[in-house]
Amino acid sequence: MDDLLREFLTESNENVLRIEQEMVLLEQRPGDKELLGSIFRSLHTIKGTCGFLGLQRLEKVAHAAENVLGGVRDGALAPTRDLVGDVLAAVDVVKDILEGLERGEDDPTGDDEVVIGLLSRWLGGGPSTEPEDFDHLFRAAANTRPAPCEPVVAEERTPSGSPSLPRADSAPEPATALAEQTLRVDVGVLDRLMDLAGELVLVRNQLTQTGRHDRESVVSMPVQQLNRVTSELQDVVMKTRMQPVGHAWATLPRLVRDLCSASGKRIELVLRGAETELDRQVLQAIRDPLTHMVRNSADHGIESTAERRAAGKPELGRIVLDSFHEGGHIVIEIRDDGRGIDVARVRAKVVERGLATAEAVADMPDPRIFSYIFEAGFSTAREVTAVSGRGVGMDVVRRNIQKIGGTVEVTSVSGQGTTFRIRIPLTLAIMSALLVGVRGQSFAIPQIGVLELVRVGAAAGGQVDEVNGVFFLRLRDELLPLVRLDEVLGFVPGDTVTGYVAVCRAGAARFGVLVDAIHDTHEIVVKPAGRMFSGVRPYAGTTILGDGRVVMILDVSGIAQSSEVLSRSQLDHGWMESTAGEATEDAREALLLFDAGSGTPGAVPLSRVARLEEFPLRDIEWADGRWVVQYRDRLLPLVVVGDGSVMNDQDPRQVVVLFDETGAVGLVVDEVLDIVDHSMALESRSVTPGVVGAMVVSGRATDLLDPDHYLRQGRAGRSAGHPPPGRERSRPARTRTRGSAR
Amino acid sequence: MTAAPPTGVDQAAWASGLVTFRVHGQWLGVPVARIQEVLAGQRINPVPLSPRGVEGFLNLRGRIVTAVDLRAVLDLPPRSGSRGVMNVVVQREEELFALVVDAMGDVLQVTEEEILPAPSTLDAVWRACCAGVVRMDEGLLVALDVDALLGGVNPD
Repeated sequence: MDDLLREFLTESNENVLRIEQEMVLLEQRPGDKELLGSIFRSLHTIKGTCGFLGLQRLEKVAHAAENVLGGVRDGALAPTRDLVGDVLAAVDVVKDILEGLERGEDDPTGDDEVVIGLLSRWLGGGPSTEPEDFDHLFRAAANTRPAPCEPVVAEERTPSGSPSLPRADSAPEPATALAEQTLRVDVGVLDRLMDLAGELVLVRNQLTQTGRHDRESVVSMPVQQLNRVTSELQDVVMKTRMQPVGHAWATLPRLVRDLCSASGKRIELVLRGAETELDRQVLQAIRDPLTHMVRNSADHGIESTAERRAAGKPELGRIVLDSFHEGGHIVIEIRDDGRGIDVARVRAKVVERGLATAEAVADMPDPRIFSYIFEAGFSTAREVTAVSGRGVGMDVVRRNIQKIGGTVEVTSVSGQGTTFRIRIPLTLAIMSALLVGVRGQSFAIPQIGVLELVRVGAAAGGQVDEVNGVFFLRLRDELLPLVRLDEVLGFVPGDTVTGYVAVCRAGAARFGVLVDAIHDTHEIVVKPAGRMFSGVRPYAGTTILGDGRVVMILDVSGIAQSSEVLSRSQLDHGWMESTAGEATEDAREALLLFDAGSGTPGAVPLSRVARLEEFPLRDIEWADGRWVVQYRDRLLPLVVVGDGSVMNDQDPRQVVVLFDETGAVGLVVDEVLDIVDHSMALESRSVTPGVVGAMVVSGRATDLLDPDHYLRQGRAGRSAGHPPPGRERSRPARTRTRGSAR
Repeated sequence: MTAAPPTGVDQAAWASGLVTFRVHGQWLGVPVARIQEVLAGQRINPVPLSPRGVEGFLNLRGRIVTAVDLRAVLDLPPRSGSRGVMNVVVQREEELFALVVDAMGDVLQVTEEEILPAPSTLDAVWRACCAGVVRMDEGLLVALDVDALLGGVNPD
């Protein structure tokens, strides 16, 4: 493809996108002359250039569309919904042709008669008029302020040089028409420029260090100068990578318009803060999630006009996109004034899908319930209507946002609407990181994942406990699992637990990362670690420090996963969430209490309980080296607490079904006692496998059990080390010895 | 001997000559065109959990370069000390790699006829990344197929 054609394609794609947005606006503001002028200009640029390049088909379609718009300009036609629809149909054909050209076809073939027919219908099939007289419109457009919600830079662009990286020039300023103020630059060049600026910073650092020893040196002044210039250069280079967030939502007006046309709804899309700037990498990453959420809002959030009327709401629904800075992050809110999420229905769905018990769900606060809509497969096609439709692909939305270190929350008021709130970092390229030392090597931990630092060891404040080879940090009455970084990185772990703990957050859970030393915080430039390290989990990338050293950036959640201290479900929304979330000293959690036949009642966090079941003894089978029961077309492994047995004289057996992402296990108990809301503070820690520690619940000593221990046991295919000698059905061994404990 | 050059040999690349270097006494070569630069005395930052053959990263004017220990890749005994280590920087699919070698030799001009196919008796590890051999006064030189060599280094 020659350069001329490539440039034409890039430019035309931008023009097409702009025409789409502006046509939708024109439908709403029929009398807006400058808008019309802008559309003309874009269309004419496409038409003009393709005539020049000999692309006849494209020229014909563009020309037909231009004729119709000519009619609008002359006042002969009104930009009605149908007319706008037809022009957009022509734009779609233009898009198709452009795509064909991009694939390398010379002049892509296709049938344009339909769309040209549609367009000429507006002109009464009469002879087409050549609209040449658009100069006055052009000038009008160039010298006036763009409408506030009109997305990005449309007005300033010149036909020959529309930029791929426009700066904050969507701010309404009089533009100097036709001036070549922007320039198309290959992104690779910008990336390399960024690298070089970083390298210059290194050289600068080395020079300033040398200069420090000799203040009187002749070079000290130039070095200071270099210092300033370098910092500024770095800033400017960073800015070249920034794009207004409006670029990510340029396609939304058309999307909403088409949805309205198809559904007969009336929706107003309000875009605010389109000029907020983001790194282009981040921008690309949120484009799809944003589109998805807006489609969801328009499709399922906003009610039909009849419904809205009945509810006493204005017929015109509203979707507002709002983007702004907040504490080093960008927040994008998507608000609709639709029907809201039906909490009761979500609750029911959660129970139905076995994600939590009815009791647990009833006690959960609404925000917690809403967070379930981000569960994978929470809402399938059949369920779309059942749960207001939200949920199709919402797990993908959340995953994509999390991938770039962002978060997404949802709040909703029934009948009043739903708000999604996305929080994302400004840039992925530069981040603040904590440098830590392990075995004399340095590693960087992104600061955003670090909550606090605690010194641990013989004489230090932090208290570390060991339970069955797993270490915990006791922090203000909370028990945080501890990951030993040396172990994670493949070193043989030391005998003693001394050093520092970086308390980290991954998803909703908190845990500690034990390191030997804490060095410093740095602003680091993130570089990919390369293909050979793509499968190496604890790393998120590499960076070069001021002294030239290359260090690895650690991926906090990757570490948690590879160390298996936290199960996947804990990372997502585990039982530590409520202890970590509300930042109250006395965190409470719903606990399921049961009698497991060991004399001491047991407790598990209710959030890890899928449901309570009863199975007759005859259904319990020994297969594949473990006790199992057929449950929902699958085999559910059964385990017992402590050294009890799955089989005893009770029939049927009561089973607490625990779950995590990889599966479920049935914990066989003698009797379910109660569900209580209780503090998670432990009286003592336990060394018994599967028992986290003891606490006093309702006046009785109770063992807090570790659900993951039993889930592991279930997966391991061993039934608590009790192979059935001759499959004995009734084992009197230790049944009902708990009478004394009662 | 008429040598139909072995597969994987880019004629144009060979025409510019081979940069030669030595690893554990063995002469190796890579086409000049594949080489970005040759560096001496670079600090290599080791990385725990590296795939076998990866020695760590080095910083080449702000670009991250993955250092590949040819001794490990070619199943040779490990180097004793780091004295006289050289880094031959090559590019593969936008990524930079430094082949860590013992010493550099001259650039060798070879004609098509001088390139012999890899002997079938060559060790499988070697044969996988051998683009051909060239007879020299000091012994046989193994021309490396850089892509095959680096493609063989994978995370475990």
